[in-house]
This record gives sequence, C-alpha cells and structure tokens, in this order.
Amino acid sequence: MLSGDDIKKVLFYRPYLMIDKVLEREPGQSATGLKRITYNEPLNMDGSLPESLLLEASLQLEALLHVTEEELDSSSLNYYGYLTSLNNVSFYRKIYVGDTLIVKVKVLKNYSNIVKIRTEGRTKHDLIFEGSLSNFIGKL
Amino acid sequence: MLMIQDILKALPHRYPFLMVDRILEIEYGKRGKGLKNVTINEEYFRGHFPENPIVPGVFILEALVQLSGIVAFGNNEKVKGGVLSSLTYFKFIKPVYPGDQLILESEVIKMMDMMCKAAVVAKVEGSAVAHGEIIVTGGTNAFR
Repeated sequence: MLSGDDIKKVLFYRPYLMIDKVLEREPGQSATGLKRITYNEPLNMDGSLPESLLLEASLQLEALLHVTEEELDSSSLNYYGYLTSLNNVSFYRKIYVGDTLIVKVKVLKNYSNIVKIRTEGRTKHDLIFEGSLSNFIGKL
Repeated sequence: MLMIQDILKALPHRYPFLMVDRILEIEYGKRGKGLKNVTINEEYFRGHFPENPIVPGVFILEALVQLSGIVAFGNNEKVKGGVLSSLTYFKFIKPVYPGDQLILESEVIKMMDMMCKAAVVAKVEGSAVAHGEIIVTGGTNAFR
C-alpha cells in the first residue's frame, strides 16, 4: 500500500492529484486506488467533479502501477506518459462532493512502450465510469 | 441527509474554507452527524507539511464548529452558521492524513439564545481523532 508521501514522489500533478491512497498494487499488473472528493479543493466548485478528471485518476493510478519498489526507494524516476487512445469509455453517473472514488486499473496488453489498460471507477454503491485506455510510456 | 448544495445555503462559508461536505443525520437544536473528506489537493497540505502531509488540528476543529453552526442555527431564519467563542477539554488524539474520511458528530448540551454549547467528536474509521466541548455564537458578526 502506498501512502501520500510515495504518491507525491511519483506524481507531480498539483493541484490535480487524483489519487490519495493506493489500496492494492501488483506492480505491472493491476492496482486499486482511492480518492476522497471534497468541496475544499480547487476542482469541483459546483459540487461535482468533471468527467475528464475521472479519467485523469485512472491515468495517475496507472503511473503508480508501473513503479517498482526499488525505484520508489531510489527516488530517481525518469518516466513520462502520454495518453494515446480511449475506447468504449462510458460515464454512468456523476460523482459529488462527499463521495469516495475507488478506481481500478488492469493491464490488458503491454507492448514495448504502449500499454493498454482496462479501468473502472466506483463509489460505495454505484459504477461511475468504465473503459479502455492506452498509453505511451517513454524514458527521459 | 443534506448534500453540498443545502450546506451552501445553510452556511456563509465558501471555498477554501468550507469544511463540511455532507450532513448524514440532523436534528436541529439537538444533534448532528457530518462528513468531511480529506484529499491531498487541499491548500493547507502545500505547507503542512511538504514531506509529510497531516491535517492541521485547527481545521478539524473548524469542521466541528461549522457542523455545530448548522445543528444549532440551521432552522433559525435570523442567522446563518456560527463562529467559535470558546473551547474546553479539547484534545487531538491521532493525526489525520489525506485519504481519510472524517465523521463529525455534534451534540448540543445547552442553547442560550444566540449561543450554543456542544460536545463534539471527530472520528476516522470508528476511532476518535479529536473531541471536546465548544461554544458557537450564531451569525458571522457576533462580536461587532
């Protein structure tokens, strides 16, 4: 399980960090992450979160999925990623302030530098979104 | 249950200082239960602390004050929310980290016209992180 410190080491998105905690992680395979939605952050002024930011949560969780334990310790991370395609992405419900988003990411195929993932986001009771994304991962 | 839209009507506080996200249970003038989600994007984590983010204790206290403001004055048409006037026996027991969910509880001990004394407790996953007694004065211009 990764905590806030580790996440901040890997991700430099601020104030757009979309993962608060990583609950489960199998490096290179799958991961489950958690994000608490609150009014007191600069993203959701009307009381709900924009859909594009939900996909951002999946992408940021995917970045955390590829990191190995040694890389976390050495703090010399030199990867970058680009979103290259979206497939069959559906949004079923809106997510509101006070909800908890639980994101799941599973790697379907891993070509040398293109990774295809399947992702879904849930709150406690409802499915919020699901879809497939692919990502280009490069080394600096 | 009150969602954020109802809380915005009941309290004068706005971004970045509205610390209650949802009200789960409420009995006006008696007791209430609220929810505050803690996420890493909140402003105070930029400096408190850059390497080791924990929620400042006074922000937990502020969340409890705002909840008590709704419980005590939510059905009062003259005033909106309240400000902190006094606190006693207040203790912070455990640190709160981003990713935690604060469950706030407030129980009114005594109502005195525009003042309300309440016993408050904040919990994370069932265990108390802060508790004490506070006095909240109705309205935002109480001291003028």
